[in-house]
Amino acid sequence: MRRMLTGTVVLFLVCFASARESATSPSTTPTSSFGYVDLFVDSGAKPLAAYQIELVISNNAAQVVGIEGGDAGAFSEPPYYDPAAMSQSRVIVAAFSTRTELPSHKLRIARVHLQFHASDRHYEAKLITAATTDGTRIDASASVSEGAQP
Amino acid sequence: MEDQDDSIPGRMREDLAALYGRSPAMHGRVDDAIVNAARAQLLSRRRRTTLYRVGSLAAAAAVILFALQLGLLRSHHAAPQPLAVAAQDLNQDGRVDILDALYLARALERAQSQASWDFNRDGQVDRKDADAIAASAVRLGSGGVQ
Repeated sequence: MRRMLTGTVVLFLVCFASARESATSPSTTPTSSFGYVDLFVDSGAKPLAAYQIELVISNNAAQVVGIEGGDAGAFSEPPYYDPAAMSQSRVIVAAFSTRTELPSHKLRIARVHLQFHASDRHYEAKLITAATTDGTRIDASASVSEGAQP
Repeated sequence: MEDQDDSIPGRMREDLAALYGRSPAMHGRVDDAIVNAARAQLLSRRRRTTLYRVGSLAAAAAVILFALQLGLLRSHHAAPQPLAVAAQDLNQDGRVDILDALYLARALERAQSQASWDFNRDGQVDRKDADAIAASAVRLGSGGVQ
């Protein structure tokens, strides 16, 4: 019992000391900033009816804080994504449209807002699937571009 | 009443009395009181020890139960749902992705939906069921995407 009490007191003192230290010492973590990346799908000449893309940010250099839709038209609404991707460095976005007027060629399909944690950032956009009007899979490519910071 | 120890032989008692004088009067009640007090203290210590042990065991059991429950819940959440995934694979390409949502949406426009496509279980097959498939497709770590 006495040993438990002593242990608790020692633990408390250690925690208190470390808390004081962290409160008084200057922070060494880099200050974070915010920005965004644009996701593009190039479906060539075929109209794009659906896409699914995975965005991966290497080394946790940034984390997702928000997602909005792309250029006006079939994919202007925010795409589907897992809310659990917020505050992570990986997200899967997807959308489909049954409109008759569908875009083709290179199209900005989504904008992903990020909180940056490091200046050395690398993004990868993996196209999981894309389809045209009748639902058949098409060869398309995905790309990502970092937007200008405010 | 003088308390005399009968286990001491009479001769020795007399010699001791001659050497040290009469032994001080010691009442049996005092002796009993000391013994009782010692027993009470010992009992109290035993109770504390027992209480401490029972408390520790209960705390350990609670921690284990909590961990087990957490593990079970996690495994429940992480458990693959092959039936649901297979049901959502409407275009039957072996995986659930956005194309299955598109498939359902196009079927709805042609009024060719099936009752079994009520994935959100709200009693009707509509755009919300396509949303449910899409939500499954983009879920991180779902395993049904790749």
